[in-house]
Amino acid sequence: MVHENEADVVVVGAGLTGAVFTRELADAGLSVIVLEQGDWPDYSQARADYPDVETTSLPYWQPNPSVRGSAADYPIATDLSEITPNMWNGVGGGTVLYSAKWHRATPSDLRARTMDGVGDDWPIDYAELAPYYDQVERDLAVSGLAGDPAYPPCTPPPNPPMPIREFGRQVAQAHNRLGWHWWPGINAVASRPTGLLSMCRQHGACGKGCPETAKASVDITHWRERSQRVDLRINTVVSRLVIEGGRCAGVECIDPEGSTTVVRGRQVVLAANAVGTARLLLLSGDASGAAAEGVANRSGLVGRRLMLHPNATVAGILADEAGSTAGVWGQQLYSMEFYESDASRGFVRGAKWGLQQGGGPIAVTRAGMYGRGLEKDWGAAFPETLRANLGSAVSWRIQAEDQPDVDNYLELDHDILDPHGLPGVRLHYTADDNAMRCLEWNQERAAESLAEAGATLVKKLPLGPTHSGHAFGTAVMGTDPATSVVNPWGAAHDLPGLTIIDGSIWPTSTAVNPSATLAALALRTARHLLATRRSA
Amino acid sequence: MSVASDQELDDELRYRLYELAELLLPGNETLPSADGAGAVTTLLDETLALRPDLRRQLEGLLGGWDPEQVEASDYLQDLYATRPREFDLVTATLLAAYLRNPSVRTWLNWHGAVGEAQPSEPSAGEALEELLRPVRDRGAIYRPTPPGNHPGLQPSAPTAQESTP
Repeated sequence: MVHENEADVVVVGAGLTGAVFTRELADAGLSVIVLEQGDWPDYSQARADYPDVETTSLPYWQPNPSVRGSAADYPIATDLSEITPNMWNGVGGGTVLYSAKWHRATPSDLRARTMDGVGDDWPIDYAELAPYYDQVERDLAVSGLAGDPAYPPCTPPPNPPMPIREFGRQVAQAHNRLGWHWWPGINAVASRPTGLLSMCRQHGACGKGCPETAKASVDITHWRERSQRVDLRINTVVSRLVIEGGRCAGVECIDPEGSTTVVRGRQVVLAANAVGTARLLLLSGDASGAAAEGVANRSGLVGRRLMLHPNATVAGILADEAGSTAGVWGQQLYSMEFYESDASRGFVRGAKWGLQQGGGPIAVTRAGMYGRGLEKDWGAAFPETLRANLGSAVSWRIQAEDQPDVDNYLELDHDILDPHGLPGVRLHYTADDNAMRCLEWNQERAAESLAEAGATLVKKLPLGPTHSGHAFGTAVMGTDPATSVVNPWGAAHDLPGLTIIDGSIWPTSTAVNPSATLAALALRTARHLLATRRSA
Repeated sequence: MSVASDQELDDELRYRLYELAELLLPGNETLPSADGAGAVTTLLDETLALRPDLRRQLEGLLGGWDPEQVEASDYLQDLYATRPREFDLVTATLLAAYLRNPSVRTWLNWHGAVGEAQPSEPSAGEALEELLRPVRDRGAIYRPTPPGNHPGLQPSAPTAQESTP
């Protein structure tokens, strides 16, 4: 195949935002070259239907790139970060691994400064995002139930919710007794056949390669069948932006054969997540020697304001077998009872809870999660312990809003190089006190929730170093070039021709899972770009 | 003296693991012990061949334990109390091997995350609505939020067809 090396638009990254953005532009007639550093996911590695799924699925679907160490992964040093970022560098991006929890931001999420005096307001409102949410929910076959009182009225998800299993029912009943909010999980998982997606059969393997192709990862929903105007190039590593005449004119990339090529476009769009995008901006200045602080960085905020979503867990063993080996892995149900801010709790902003299944025999016997004591769990007690835990183990996964802090940042690290000799990154991140107080308080409530549900074991996992698949803030959007990297449409203030569409541009993290807002923002930016071209 | 291939634990470390395994999984009248199931011999080798990363971690962990100085039961107690991740490494590896034994899987009725048949047309249904009634009855819990003042940022959401260049 002869590759043209020029297109209307060059997109870096074939994850969620790159997929949504590219489809919109290609459908409108634009040519798009998409450069993806990794390969297609190999679903022959999906092991859900095998008894050894817990053992054999991990090497391939390992979420921590530093452990996975595939050819597409660049080094990320996390010794100075309390949270390790999980990601998938390949076609589909983070959606290959995500649990597919699907949450819109709430109206107050986008006005944290006005409402609670912390973080920043977003330069857009919920009402503006709503129609974009509607569209991407259709495109990603979202399953759920309309009418959640934690949100303004909105268009129902296109598919009905997944059935609530016994463990979900028991916790829902407990919340009803407590007078607390809960709602059936909304997930980007097809509850009935939709497009290329099959119906979910509740393997609970969303993060280990869905064997049904029921989870809406964009390698399936957006990239498998794509417009002929889209030239998707895999195993192609972008090494720097090409800047000519003060404008971003393209990118320099290393193709699978190791040759360096320049790919040009009238617009260059970065969709490489908040770590990868900031790395590329820093690399682009670093190599020139003229701008060690990177490009598009008059504000000095490229790589700064890193947010990674502090989180916590409360695990429990319900009294009887409750079907918790199966189900949608993401969330059987969720609670936003304590999502909105109430300063009397000792912190501002809030947290979202998602109820997750326990998993298989190895997962439900982990000492840190479900241990009652060595003699109670192992030795002569082991058969009884395993039978009691399997099908009854559950956990509340709690996620707090992260606040931007310029002292949380990433930088290039020239001591750790990727296979092409490009520097990796080092993260500097400490969760703020407000978020930690929020998590601690919510853990207490989540323990009450499981106790009310009749759990015979309730365990608050220690707060501390953890991991997260969510990264934000390293190229923040705003209206003032002195305090932001891109404008509210993702266009770089300081570098014409460059647009950023991933989580880098988020002013705050919200406390919900980000996929819905990532997709909606990418669609909004695509339509704005199209409208701008038309008017020009 | 090691007689192991490069994918297997050497004899000394395998014996250390055996000592732990027999304490953790002693078996009973219906279940074999770890050793009886082959979980520290052939099935362990199969597991570590699939997961060489586990072998490397086990070598690091077990290599740091001197059974002459610390009894196996005390070692397990220490791991459980102070290093749960390392304890989980031992139990996860042993269970992975143990569950490769067909009689253990049959006893547990565990065949993997095999999924289940689902209704062809799922729906919220009356039972769910009844369960949700208290939540709905409480009404909205989101905070009314005034719109921001975003001069010059009027929404523009033309359809793709309208905006073809």
